[in-house]
Amino acid sequence: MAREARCTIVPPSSKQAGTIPVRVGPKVLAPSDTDLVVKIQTGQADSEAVLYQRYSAKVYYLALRNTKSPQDAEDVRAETFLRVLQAIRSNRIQSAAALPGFILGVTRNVLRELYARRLQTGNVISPEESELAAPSHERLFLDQEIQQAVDRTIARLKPRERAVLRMHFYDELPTEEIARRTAIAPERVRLVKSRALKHFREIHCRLKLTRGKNV
Amino acid sequence: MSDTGMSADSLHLLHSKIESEEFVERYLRNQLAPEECQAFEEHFFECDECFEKLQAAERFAAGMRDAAKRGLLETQAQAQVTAGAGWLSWAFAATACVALILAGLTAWAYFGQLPRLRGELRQTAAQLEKQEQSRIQTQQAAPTEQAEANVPLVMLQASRAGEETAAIILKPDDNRLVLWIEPGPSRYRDFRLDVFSSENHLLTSVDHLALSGYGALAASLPTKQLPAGDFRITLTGQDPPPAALAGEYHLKVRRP
Repeated sequence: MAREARCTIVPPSSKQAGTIPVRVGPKVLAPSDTDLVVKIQTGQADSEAVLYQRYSAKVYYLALRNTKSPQDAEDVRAETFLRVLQAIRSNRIQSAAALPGFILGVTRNVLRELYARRLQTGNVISPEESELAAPSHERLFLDQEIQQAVDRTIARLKPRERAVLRMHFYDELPTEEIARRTAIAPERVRLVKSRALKHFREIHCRLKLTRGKNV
Repeated sequence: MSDTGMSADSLHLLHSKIESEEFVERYLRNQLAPEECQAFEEHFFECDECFEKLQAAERFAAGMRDAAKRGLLETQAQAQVTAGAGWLSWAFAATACVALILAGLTAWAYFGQLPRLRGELRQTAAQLEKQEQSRIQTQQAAPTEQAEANVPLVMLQASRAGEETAAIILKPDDNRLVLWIEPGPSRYRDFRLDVFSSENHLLTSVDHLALSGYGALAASLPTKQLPAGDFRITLTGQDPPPAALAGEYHLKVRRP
């Protein structure tokens, strides 16, 4: 079965490292996971690149979210794909259709091993602790393009909508509390958030396209 | 996506659940239960659409927090005021209306009712004065005085601690002073008023005082018996018997 290529957003650090090309362009039929597994097993190296391209952003995102370190996330990604490709090459994949779950499982294993090593050296933040902590990794997702897109999104907002977003993202208030404070319905609060996010995505995608043309 | 073993229907159902239960937002805030978190990660590893949404939401959240720190969302107070202004303005308007109505009532009472009551009071005092004069004329058969047009009048209230004593300034040409007393609910029809000096000497008395239509007693006293000074005035219920003290009042008389 075929996959449909789309405008995939990846962390800036990945882009800077030049490891993940940004896929922007017309709709192209991409090979299915099953096709990829078969091709990799038959020694087609370009299929390995396609597999990497398809899942590396997800692996990196999960690793970054857990380790909160771009360097560690890169290491986790590299180790994960090394193991995944080895497993595919040596035909240790039970079901090619379950490839995403397999890659996720390998990523989690690599993360656990990283925590275990850190635990031994006494320099560790457990997954549970990191889960409980505020998403401090978010700064890793910021770049000039994001700021620009956010600024343009904010410029289009009404004062009350800005207040809603501030209460949501900065004060981290629940939707019901925001609704109470702004005297609007919770559904309206959700609508403000989703509209703003939609505008942001549109603007950000346009900026990426413009940048792609300029590069 | 569909080659992952998940049917289109179940994926659609999961998408609707992800949307309705705000999985993306809760995942970003670390608010998902462990099993929900695991299920969502498994889902976005299979689903590019959800991963894209997650990434966008992550970037948007990071950008918005950064914008808030940069002061770009500093309209919270204004918005709250604006938001609150809806009902606050109504509350303010309602309060203002009530205040205006109260002010109107006060003004009506002060400028409309009080002068009318004072007018009636003076009229009653004048009538009493006339009656007194005619009585004196009848008794003495020697009409020497005429009713004063602007007889001085003072309203007396029962003495209470801390209350200011009633005071009146009597001009040299004031011949009589009218005391206006509202004794309140009483079983008596007939009262007697006694005026004592500060040394407790009885200076004058007025008998057979009856309550007027306003529930008040009006007693007219000759001013020559009231030099400048403080006076104690007692009101005694006479009829029906037995007689009893109905009230005690204090009066300060000043003379220019």
